[in-house]
Amino acid sequence: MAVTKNRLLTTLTSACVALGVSSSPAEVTEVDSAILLYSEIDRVSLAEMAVSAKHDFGNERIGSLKLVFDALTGSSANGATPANFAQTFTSPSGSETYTTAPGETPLDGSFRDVRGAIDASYSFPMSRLTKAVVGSHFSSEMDYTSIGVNSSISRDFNKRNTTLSLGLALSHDIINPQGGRPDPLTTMIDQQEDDDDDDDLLLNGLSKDDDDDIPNRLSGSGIKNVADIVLSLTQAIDRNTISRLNYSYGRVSGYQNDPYKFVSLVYPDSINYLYESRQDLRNKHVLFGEVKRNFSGDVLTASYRFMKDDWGIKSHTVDMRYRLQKTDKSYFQPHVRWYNQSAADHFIPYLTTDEPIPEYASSDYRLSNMTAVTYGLKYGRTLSSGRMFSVRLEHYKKLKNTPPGDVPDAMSGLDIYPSVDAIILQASFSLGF
Amino acid sequence: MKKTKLFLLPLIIVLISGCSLGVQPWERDVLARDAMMFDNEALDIAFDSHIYFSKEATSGGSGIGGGGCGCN
Repeated sequence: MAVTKNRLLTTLTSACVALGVSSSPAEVTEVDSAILLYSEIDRVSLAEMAVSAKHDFGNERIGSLKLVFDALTGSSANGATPANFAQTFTSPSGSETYTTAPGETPLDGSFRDVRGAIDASYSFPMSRLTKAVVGSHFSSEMDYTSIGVNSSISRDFNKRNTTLSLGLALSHDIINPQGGRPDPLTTMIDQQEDDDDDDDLLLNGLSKDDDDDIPNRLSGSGIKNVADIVLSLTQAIDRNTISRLNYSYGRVSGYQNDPYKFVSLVYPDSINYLYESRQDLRNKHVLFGEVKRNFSGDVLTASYRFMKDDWGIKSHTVDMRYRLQKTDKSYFQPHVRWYNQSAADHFIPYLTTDEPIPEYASSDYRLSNMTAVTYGLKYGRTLSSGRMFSVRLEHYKKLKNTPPGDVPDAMSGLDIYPSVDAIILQASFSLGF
Repeated sequence: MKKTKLFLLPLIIVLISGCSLGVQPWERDVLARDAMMFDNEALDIAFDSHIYFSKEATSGGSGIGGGGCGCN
Protein backbone atom coordinates (compact mmCIF):
# COMPACT_ATOMS: atom_id res chain seq x y z
CA MET A 1 0.00 0.00 0.00
CA ALA A 2 2.85 2.32 0.92
CA VAL A 3 4.53 1.53 -2.35
CA THR A 4 1.34 2.35 -4.23
CA LYS A 5 1.06 5.71 -2.44
CA ASN A 6 4.68 6.53 -3.16
CA ARG A 7 4.23 5.63 -6.80
CA LEU A 8 1.13 7.81 -7.01
CA LEU A 9 2.96 10.72 -5.40
CA THR A 10 5.91 10.30 -7.75
CA THR A 11 3.58 10.19 -10.74
CA LEU A 12 1.72 13.31 -9.68
CA THR A 13 4.91 15.18 -8.89
CA SER A 14 6.58 14.27 -12.17
CA ALA A 15 3.40 15.11 -14.07
CA CYS A 16 3.29 18.54 -12.40
CA VAL A 17 6.94 19.14 -13.29
CA ALA A 18 6.33 17.98 -16.84
CA LEU A 19 3.41 20.36 -17.16
CA GLY A 20 5.47 23.22 -15.81
CA VAL A 21 3.58 23.48 -12.54
CA SER A 22 5.88 23.99 -9.59
CA SER A 23 5.20 21.37 -6.98
CA SER A 24 8.30 21.57 -4.82
CA PRO A 25 7.91 22.87 -1.31
CA ALA A 26 11.23 24.77 -1.78
CA GLU A 27 14.06 25.24 0.68
CA VAL A 28 15.33 21.69 0.34
CA THR A 29 19.02 20.90 0.71
CA GLU A 30 20.75 17.71 -0.42
CA VAL A 31 24.30 16.89 0.59
CA ASP A 32 26.46 14.22 -1.04
CA SER A 33 29.87 13.28 0.26
CA ALA A 34 32.38 10.69 -0.85
CA ILE A 35 35.92 9.54 -0.30
CA LEU A 36 37.95 7.78 -2.96
CA LEU A 37 41.13 5.76 -2.67
CA TYR A 38 42.99 5.02 -5.89
CA SER A 39 46.13 2.97 -5.85
CA GLU A 40 48.31 1.68 -8.67
CA ILE A 41 50.51 -1.27 -7.92
CA ASP A 42 54.04 0.06 -7.29
CA ARG A 43 53.02 3.50 -8.61
CA VAL A 44 50.87 6.46 -7.54
CA SER A 45 48.25 6.48 -4.81
CA LEU A 46 45.52 9.06 -4.52
CA ALA A 47 43.11 9.92 -1.72
CA GLU A 48 40.30 12.24 -2.74
CA MET A 49 37.41 13.67 -0.74
CA ALA A 50 34.41 15.55 -2.11
CA VAL A 51 31.40 17.22 -0.56
CA SER A 52 28.60 18.50 -2.74
CA ALA A 53 25.60 20.49 -1.55
CA LYS A 54 22.56 21.36 -3.60
CA HIS A 55 19.92 23.76 -2.33
CA ASP A 56 16.51 24.21 -3.91
CA PHE A 57 15.43 27.83 -3.42
CA GLY A 58 12.02 27.10 -4.90
CA ASN A 59 10.56 27.94 -8.31
CA GLU A 60 13.20 25.74 -9.97
CA ARG A 61 16.06 27.86 -8.69
CA ILE A 62 18.87 25.58 -7.55
CA GLY A 63 22.32 26.46 -6.24
CA SER A 64 25.15 23.93 -6.04
CA LEU A 65 28.52 23.99 -4.34
CA LYS A 66 31.20 21.31 -4.45
CA LEU A 67 34.46 21.12 -2.55
CA VAL A 68 37.20 18.64 -3.48
CA PHE A 69 40.47 17.88 -1.78
CA ASP A 70 42.97 15.28 -2.88
CA ALA A 71 46.47 14.15 -2.06
CA LEU A 72 48.79 12.28 -4.44
CA THR A 73 51.93 10.38 -3.64
CA GLY A 74 54.08 7.65 -5.17
CA SER A 75 55.86 6.91 -8.41
CA SER A 76 54.95 7.96 -11.93
CA ALA A 77 56.46 6.77 -15.21
CA ASN A 78 58.87 9.46 -16.43
CA GLY A 79 58.53 8.50 -20.10
CA ALA A 80 62.02 7.09 -20.55
CA THR A 81 62.28 3.59 -21.93
CA PRO A 82 63.58 0.70 -19.80
CA ALA A 83 67.11 -0.42 -20.61
CA ASN A 84 69.40 -3.37 -20.04
CA PHE A 85 71.55 -1.24 -17.76
CA ALA A 86 70.90 1.01 -14.77
CA GLN A 87 69.69 4.51 -15.61
CA THR A 88 70.10 7.61 -13.46
CA PHE A 89 67.75 10.57 -13.73
CA THR A 90 67.65 14.03 -12.23
CA SER A 91 64.49 14.76 -10.26
CA PRO A 92 62.24 17.63 -11.46
CA SER A 93 63.64 19.93 -8.78
CA GLY A 94 67.11 19.43 -10.24
CA SER A 95 68.55 18.81 -6.81
CA GLU A 96 68.36 15.03 -6.53
CA THR A 97 68.87 11.92 -8.61
CA TYR A 98 67.20 8.53 -8.73
CA THR A 99 68.34 5.34 -10.37
CA THR A 100 66.27 2.74 -12.18
CA ALA A 101 67.49 -0.87 -12.13
CA PRO A 102 68.22 -2.71 -15.40
CA GLY A 103 65.05 -3.93 -17.09
CA GLU A 104 62.72 -1.79 -14.94
CA THR A 105 60.35 0.92 -16.18
CA PRO A 106 61.81 4.28 -15.08
CA LEU A 107 59.57 5.74 -12.37
CA ASP A 108 60.01 9.07 -10.67
CA GLY A 109 59.19 8.45 -7.04
CA SER A 110 59.33 12.08 -5.98
CA PHE A 111 55.71 12.99 -6.73
CA ARG A 112 53.89 14.61 -3.83
CA ASP A 113 50.99 16.90 -4.46
CA VAL A 114 47.81 18.16 -2.83
CA ARG A 115 44.92 19.80 -4.64
CA GLY A 116 41.93 21.77 -3.52
CA ALA A 117 39.03 22.62 -5.83
CA ILE A 118 35.74 24.43 -5.58
CA ASP A 119 32.87 24.37 -8.07
CA ALA A 120 29.75 26.49 -7.84
CA SER A 121 26.70 26.72 -10.08
CA TYR A 122 23.25 28.23 -10.11
CA SER A 123 20.36 27.19 -12.31
CA PHE A 124 17.23 29.22 -12.85
CA PRO A 125 14.25 29.30 -15.23
CA MET A 126 14.20 31.88 -18.01
CA SER A 127 10.69 30.92 -19.06
CA ARG A 128 8.30 28.03 -18.48
CA LEU A 129 10.32 25.76 -20.78
CA THR A 130 13.74 27.36 -20.77
CA LYS A 131 16.39 27.00 -18.07
CA ALA A 132 19.85 28.50 -17.69
CA VAL A 133 22.86 27.44 -15.63
CA VAL A 134 25.89 29.55 -14.73
CA GLY A 135 28.90 28.12 -12.96
CA SER A 136 32.54 28.58 -12.09
CA HIS A 137 35.44 26.55 -10.79
CA PHE A 138 38.79 27.11 -9.16
CA SER A 139 41.42 24.51 -8.35
CA SER A 140 44.92 24.81 -7.04
CA GLU A 141 47.77 22.39 -6.53
CA MET A 142 51.48 22.88 -5.99
CA ASP A 143 52.35 23.34 -9.66
CA TYR A 144 48.97 23.92 -11.33
CA THR A 145 46.15 26.43 -10.98
CA SER A 146 42.92 26.37 -12.94
CA ILE A 147 40.11 28.90 -13.00
CA GLY A 148 37.06 28.78 -15.21
CA VAL A 149 33.49 29.69 -15.92
CA ASN A 150 30.70 27.83 -17.66
CA SER A 151 27.16 28.45 -18.76
CA SER A 152 24.41 26.54 -20.49
CA ILE A 153 20.89 27.10 -21.66
CA SER A 154 18.32 24.38 -22.23
CA ARG A 155 14.81 24.27 -23.62
CA ASP A 156 12.16 21.58 -23.39
CA PHE A 157 10.02 20.52 -26.33
CA ASN A 158 7.45 17.88 -27.11
CA LYS A 159 5.65 17.80 -23.72
CA ARG A 160 9.08 17.94 -22.06
CA ASN A 161 10.06 14.66 -23.65
CA THR A 162 12.83 16.40 -25.56
CA THR A 163 15.43 18.77 -24.14
CA LEU A 164 17.96 20.59 -26.25
CA SER A 165 20.81 22.39 -24.52
CA LEU A 166 23.87 24.35 -25.45
CA GLY A 167 26.77 24.83 -23.05
CA LEU A 168 30.04 26.75 -23.06
CA ALA A 169 32.96 26.32 -20.68
CA LEU A 170 36.15 28.38 -20.54
CA SER A 171 39.16 27.56 -18.43
CA HIS A 172 42.46 29.33 -17.83
CA ASP A 173 45.24 27.17 -16.42
CA ILE A 174 48.60 28.30 -15.04
CA ILE A 175 51.45 25.78 -14.83
CA ASN A 176 54.49 26.31 -12.62
CA PRO A 177 56.37 23.00 -12.60
CA GLN A 178 58.69 22.09 -9.81
CA GLY A 179 62.16 23.21 -10.91
CA GLY A 180 60.80 25.38 -13.73
CA ARG A 181 59.59 24.59 -17.24
CA PRO A 182 62.11 22.58 -19.27
CA ASP A 183 62.95 23.80 -22.74
CA PRO A 184 61.45 21.10 -25.01
CA LEU A 185 63.84 18.59 -26.56
CA THR A 186 66.83 19.85 -24.62
CA THR A 187 68.88 17.40 -22.62
CA MET A 188 67.97 16.46 -19.09
CA ILE A 189 69.99 18.32 -16.51
CA ASP A 190 72.72 15.98 -15.38
CA GLN A 191 72.78 16.79 -11.72
CA GLN A 192 75.83 14.65 -11.17
CA GLU A 193 77.88 16.73 -13.56
CA ASP A 194 76.51 20.13 -12.57
CA ASP A 195 78.37 22.43 -10.33
CA ASP A 196 76.68 24.22 -7.49
CA ASP A 197 76.29 27.51 -9.34
CA ASP A 198 74.41 25.88 -12.18
CA ASP A 199 72.11 24.13 -9.73
CA ASP A 200 71.30 27.40 -8.02
CA LEU A 201 70.38 29.01 -11.31
CA LEU A 202 68.15 26.13 -12.35
CA LEU A 203 66.44 25.86 -9.00
CA ASN A 204 65.47 29.49 -9.34
CA GLY A 205 64.00 28.88 -12.78
CA LEU A 206 66.52 31.16 -14.50
CA SER A 207 67.92 30.60 -17.96
CA LYS A 208 71.54 29.76 -18.33
CA ASP A 209 73.92 31.06 -20.92
CA ASP A 210 73.34 29.85 -24.44
CA ASP A 211 76.85 28.53 -24.72
CA ASP A 212 76.35 26.36 -21.68
CA ASP A 213 75.76 22.73 -22.66
CA ILE A 214 73.20 22.19 -19.87
CA PRO A 215 69.65 22.80 -21.01
CA ASN A 216 67.68 25.91 -20.28
CA ARG A 217 64.49 26.47 -18.42
CA LEU A 218 61.75 28.53 -20.05
CA SER A 219 60.96 31.74 -18.28
CA GLY A 220 57.60 32.47 -16.71
CA SER A 221 54.58 30.28 -16.15
CA GLY A 222 53.02 27.98 -18.69
CA ILE A 223 49.57 29.14 -19.74
CA LYS A 224 46.87 26.89 -21.13
CA ASN A 225 43.43 28.02 -22.25
CA VAL A 226 40.60 25.56 -22.75
CA ALA A 227 37.26 26.23 -24.45
CA ASP A 228 34.51 23.62 -24.72
CA ILE A 229 31.16 23.85 -26.48
CA VAL A 230 28.60 21.13 -25.82
CA LEU A 231 25.38 20.58 -27.75
CA SER A 232 23.13 18.11 -25.97
CA LEU A 233 19.88 16.39 -26.85
CA THR A 234 17.93 14.45 -24.19
CA GLN A 235 14.99 12.35 -25.33
CA ALA A 236 12.47 10.27 -23.37
CA ILE A 237 11.88 7.23 -25.58
CA ASP A 238 9.08 5.53 -23.68
CA ARG A 239 7.89 5.04 -20.12
CA ASN A 240 11.03 3.02 -19.24
CA THR A 241 13.71 4.50 -21.44
CA ILE A 242 15.51 7.81 -21.68
CA SER A 243 18.49 8.73 -23.84
CA ARG A 244 20.83 11.58 -24.59
CA LEU A 245 23.28 12.49 -27.29
CA ASN A 246 26.05 15.05 -26.83
CA TYR A 247 28.41 16.57 -29.31
CA SER A 248 31.25 18.61 -27.89
CA TYR A 249 34.07 20.55 -29.43
CA GLY A 250 37.08 21.42 -27.34
CA ARG A 251 39.99 23.68 -28.14
CA VAL A 252 43.09 23.57 -25.96
CA SER A 253 45.78 26.15 -26.64
CA GLY A 254 49.04 26.97 -24.92
CA TYR A 255 51.47 24.97 -22.81
CA GLN A 256 50.55 21.27 -23.03
CA ASN A 257 53.87 19.58 -22.30
CA ASP A 258 54.20 17.36 -19.28
CA PRO A 259 57.29 18.99 -17.75
CA TYR A 260 58.19 15.81 -15.89
CA LYS A 261 58.34 13.52 -18.90
CA PHE A 262 61.42 12.48 -20.87
CA VAL A 263 62.00 10.98 -24.30
CA SER A 264 64.90 8.53 -24.54
CA LEU A 265 67.43 9.22 -27.27
CA VAL A 266 69.06 5.84 -27.77
CA TYR A 267 72.69 5.60 -28.87
CA PRO A 268 74.37 2.26 -29.67
CA ASP A 269 75.89 2.05 -26.20
CA SER A 270 74.09 4.64 -24.10
CA ILE A 271 70.88 6.65 -23.70
CA ASN A 272 70.39 10.38 -23.47
CA TYR A 273 67.19 11.96 -22.10
CA LEU A 274 65.36 14.86 -23.71
CA TYR A 275 62.42 16.81 -22.32
CA GLU A 276 59.27 16.08 -24.28
CA SER A 277 57.72 18.47 -26.80
CA ARG A 278 54.00 18.65 -27.65
CA GLN A 279 52.05 20.87 -30.00
CA ASP A 280 50.52 23.92 -28.36
CA LEU A 281 47.13 23.57 -30.04
CA ARG A 282 44.69 20.68 -29.81
CA ASN A 283 41.18 20.53 -31.27
CA LYS A 284 38.93 17.74 -30.02
CA HIS A 285 35.57 16.45 -31.20
CA VAL A 286 33.60 14.17 -28.91
CA LEU A 287 30.35 12.36 -29.63
CA PHE A 288 28.71 10.82 -26.56
CA GLY A 289 25.52 8.78 -26.40
CA GLU A 290 23.89 7.33 -23.32
CA VAL A 291 20.71 5.41 -22.64
CA LYS A 292 18.97 4.37 -19.43
CA ARG A 293 16.43 1.59 -19.44
CA ASN A 294 14.26 0.38 -16.59
CA PHE A 295 13.66 -3.37 -16.34
CA SER A 296 11.04 -3.95 -13.62
CA GLY A 297 12.93 -1.78 -11.16
CA ASP A 298 16.44 -2.63 -12.33
CA VAL A 299 18.19 0.03 -14.39
CA LEU A 300 20.68 -0.44 -17.21
CA THR A 301 22.89 2.53 -18.04
CA ALA A 302 24.92 2.17 -21.21
CA SER A 303 27.05 4.76 -22.97
CA TYR A 304 29.41 5.08 -25.89
CA ARG A 305 31.89 7.88 -26.54
CA PHE A 306 33.93 8.59 -29.64
CA MET A 307 36.72 11.14 -29.62
CA LYS A 308 38.86 12.42 -32.45
CA ASP A 309 41.45 15.16 -32.26
CA ASP A 310 43.97 16.81 -34.54
CA TRP A 311 46.85 15.18 -32.70
CA GLY A 312 45.86 12.01 -34.53
CA ILE A 313 44.17 10.32 -31.58
CA LYS A 314 40.90 8.45 -31.98
CA SER A 315 39.29 6.78 -29.01
CA HIS A 316 36.28 4.62 -28.19
CA THR A 317 34.77 4.23 -24.72
CA VAL A 318 31.99 1.80 -23.84
CA ASP A 319 30.56 1.96 -20.33
CA MET A 320 27.80 -0.23 -18.84
CA ARG A 321 26.24 -0.29 -15.37
CA TYR A 322 23.38 -2.48 -14.29
CA ARG A 323 21.60 -1.44 -11.11
CA LEU A 324 20.15 -4.62 -9.68
CA GLN A 325 17.47 -3.55 -7.20
CA LYS A 326 17.76 -6.15 -4.47
CA THR A 327 15.05 -4.68 -2.24
CA ASP A 328 13.26 -1.33 -2.09
CA LYS A 329 16.20 -0.04 -0.08
CA SER A 330 19.28 -1.74 -1.46
CA TYR A 331 20.93 -2.52 -4.76
CA PHE A 332 24.02 -4.02 -6.36
CA GLN A 333 25.51 -2.41 -9.45
CA PRO A 334 28.12 -4.21 -11.57
CA HIS A 335 30.14 -1.91 -13.83
CA VAL A 336 32.21 -2.62 -16.93
CA ARG A 337 34.15 -0.10 -18.99
CA TRP A 338 36.28 -0.64 -22.09
CA TYR A 339 38.53 2.04 -23.56
CA ASN A 340 40.73 2.05 -26.64
CA GLN A 341 42.76 4.82 -28.21
CA SER A 342 45.16 5.19 -31.10
CA ALA A 343 48.48 6.93 -30.60
CA ALA A 344 49.10 10.63 -31.08
CA ASP A 345 51.10 11.53 -34.17
CA HIS A 346 53.95 12.77 -32.03
CA PHE A 347 54.02 9.78 -29.72
CA ILE A 348 57.25 7.83 -30.04
CA PRO A 349 58.49 5.21 -27.56
CA TYR A 350 62.10 6.36 -28.04
CA LEU A 351 64.29 8.25 -30.48
CA THR A 352 67.34 6.85 -32.19
CA THR A 353 70.31 8.49 -33.84
CA ASP A 354 69.25 6.98 -37.17
CA GLU A 355 66.50 9.58 -37.58
CA PRO A 356 66.55 13.37 -37.13
CA ILE A 357 64.90 14.58 -33.95
CA PRO A 358 61.31 15.64 -34.79
CA GLU A 359 59.81 18.98 -33.79
CA TYR A 360 57.33 17.24 -31.50
CA ALA A 361 57.97 14.06 -29.55
CA SER A 362 56.48 12.52 -26.43
CA SER A 363 56.89 9.08 -24.89
CA ASP A 364 54.07 9.60 -22.39
CA TYR A 365 52.20 6.28 -22.49
CA ARG A 366 48.92 8.21 -22.13
CA LEU A 367 49.43 9.33 -25.73
CA SER A 368 50.25 5.82 -26.95
CA ASN A 369 48.09 3.23 -28.62
CA MET A 370 46.39 1.64 -25.63
CA THR A 371 43.47 -0.37 -24.34
CA ALA A 372 42.15 -0.27 -20.78
CA VAL A 373 39.36 -2.09 -18.98
CA THR A 374 37.57 -1.38 -15.72
CA TYR A 375 35.27 -3.72 -13.89
CA GLY A 376 33.76 -3.41 -10.47
CA LEU A 377 30.79 -3.65 -8.17
CA LYS A 378 28.85 -1.06 -6.19
CA TYR A 379 26.50 -1.67 -3.29
CA GLY A 380 24.03 1.00 -2.20
CA ARG A 381 21.59 1.10 0.67
CA THR A 382 19.01 3.56 1.96
CA LEU A 383 19.23 3.67 5.75
CA SER A 384 16.23 3.85 8.07
CA SER A 385 16.85 7.57 8.50
CA GLY A 386 16.39 8.03 4.75
CA ARG A 387 20.08 8.70 4.27
CA MET A 388 21.91 6.77 1.55
CA PHE A 389 25.19 4.93 1.74
CA SER A 390 27.14 3.23 -1.03
CA VAL A 391 30.51 1.62 -1.53
CA ARG A 392 32.18 0.52 -4.74
CA LEU A 393 35.30 -1.45 -5.55
CA GLU A 394 36.78 -1.47 -9.03
CA HIS A 395 39.83 -2.70 -10.87
CA TYR A 396 41.35 -0.60 -13.66
CA LYS A 397 43.84 -2.23 -15.98
CA LYS A 398 45.78 -0.67 -18.80
CA LEU A 399 46.66 -3.62 -20.99
CA LYS A 400 50.13 -4.31 -22.23
CA ASN A 401 50.81 -2.74 -25.65
CA THR A 402 52.17 -4.62 -28.60
CA PRO A 403 55.95 -4.09 -28.59
CA PRO A 404 57.65 -2.64 -31.66
CA GLY A 405 59.30 -5.13 -33.99
CA ASP A 406 62.94 -4.13 -33.88
CA VAL A 407 64.35 -2.51 -30.79
CA PRO A 408 67.89 -1.28 -30.14
CA ASP A 409 70.21 -3.55 -28.16
CA ALA A 410 69.92 -1.28 -25.12
CA MET A 411 66.35 -2.45 -24.55
CA SER A 412 66.31 -5.77 -26.34
CA GLY A 413 64.01 -8.31 -24.69
CA LEU A 414 62.48 -5.79 -22.29
CA ASP A 415 58.83 -4.97 -21.68
CA ILE A 416 58.67 -1.44 -23.09
CA TYR A 417 54.91 -1.07 -22.60
CA PRO A 418 54.06 -2.77 -19.31
CA SER A 419 50.50 -3.10 -18.07
CA VAL A 420 49.28 -0.87 -15.24
CA ASP A 421 46.88 -2.10 -12.58
CA ALA A 422 44.93 0.08 -10.17
CA ILE A 423 42.36 -0.47 -7.44
CA ILE A 424 39.55 2.05 -6.93
CA LEU A 425 37.64 2.08 -3.63
CA GLN A 426 34.93 4.63 -2.92
CA ALA A 427 32.46 5.18 -0.11
CA SER A 428 29.61 7.69 -0.44
CA PHE A 429 27.05 9.11 1.94
CA SER A 430 24.05 11.26 1.04
CA LEU A 431 21.47 13.06 3.10
CA GLY A 432 18.74 15.60 2.60
CA PHE A 433 17.10 18.05 4.98
CA MET B 1 30.81 16.03 -45.77
CA LYS B 2 31.15 13.68 -42.81
CA LYS B 3 31.17 16.63 -40.39
CA THR B 4 27.97 18.00 -41.93
CA LYS B 5 26.25 14.67 -41.34
CA LEU B 6 27.48 14.67 -37.76
CA PHE B 7 25.97 18.08 -37.06
CA LEU B 8 22.69 17.13 -38.73
CA LEU B 9 22.26 14.01 -36.63
CA PRO B 10 20.88 15.72 -33.47
CA LEU B 11 18.49 17.75 -35.63
CA ILE B 12 17.17 14.64 -37.34
CA ILE B 13 16.67 12.97 -33.99
CA VAL B 14 14.73 15.99 -32.71
CA LEU B 15 12.45 15.90 -35.72
CA ILE B 16 11.86 12.18 -35.36
CA SER B 17 11.32 12.46 -31.62
CA GLY B 18 8.74 15.17 -32.08
CA CYS B 19 6.66 12.72 -34.05
CA SER B 20 6.23 9.70 -31.84
CA LEU B 21 8.72 9.27 -29.00
CA GLY B 22 8.01 10.17 -25.42
CA VAL B 23 5.36 9.77 -22.75
CA GLN B 24 2.39 11.65 -21.38
CA PRO B 25 3.02 13.79 -18.29
CA TRP B 26 1.18 11.29 -16.06
CA GLU B 27 3.35 8.44 -17.33
CA ARG B 28 6.62 9.77 -15.98
CA ASP B 29 6.74 7.86 -12.71
CA VAL B 30 9.57 5.55 -13.77
CA LEU B 31 11.54 8.28 -15.55
CA ALA B 32 11.29 10.43 -12.40
CA ARG B 33 13.16 7.88 -10.27
CA ASP B 34 16.61 8.97 -9.09
CA ALA B 35 18.17 5.91 -10.75
CA MET B 36 16.83 7.12 -14.13
CA MET B 37 18.50 10.55 -13.84
CA PHE B 38 21.68 11.06 -15.84
CA ASP B 39 23.31 12.86 -12.92
CA ASN B 40 22.28 10.50 -10.13
CA GLU B 41 25.89 9.40 -9.53
CA ALA B 42 27.52 12.79 -10.01
CA LEU B 43 30.36 12.29 -7.52
CA ASP B 44 31.20 8.84 -8.93
CA ILE B 45 31.34 10.32 -12.42
CA ALA B 46 33.48 13.25 -11.22
CA PHE B 47 35.95 10.90 -9.51
CA ASP B 48 36.10 8.66 -12.58
CA SER B 49 36.64 11.67 -14.83
CA HIS B 50 39.60 12.72 -12.67
CA ILE B 51 41.11 9.22 -12.82
CA TYR B 52 40.65 8.69 -16.53
CA PHE B 53 41.75 12.25 -17.38
CA SER B 54 45.06 11.46 -15.72
CA LYS B 55 45.48 8.03 -17.36
CA GLU B 56 44.11 8.40 -20.88
CA ALA B 57 44.10 10.91 -23.72
CA THR B 58 40.33 11.39 -23.74
CA SER B 59 38.21 13.40 -21.35
CA GLY B 60 34.76 14.96 -21.20
CA GLY B 61 31.83 14.29 -23.45
CA SER B 62 29.09 13.85 -20.87
CA GLY B 63 28.76 17.51 -19.89
CA ILE B 64 30.50 20.75 -19.10
CA GLY B 65 32.06 22.21 -16.00
CA GLY B 66 34.79 21.01 -13.68
CA GLY B 67 38.36 22.13 -13.54
CA GLY B 68 41.65 21.03 -14.99
CA CYS B 69 44.53 19.50 -13.16
CA GLY B 70 48.17 18.67 -13.75
CA CYS B 71 47.44 15.03 -13.13
CA ASN B 72 50.13 12.37 -13.15
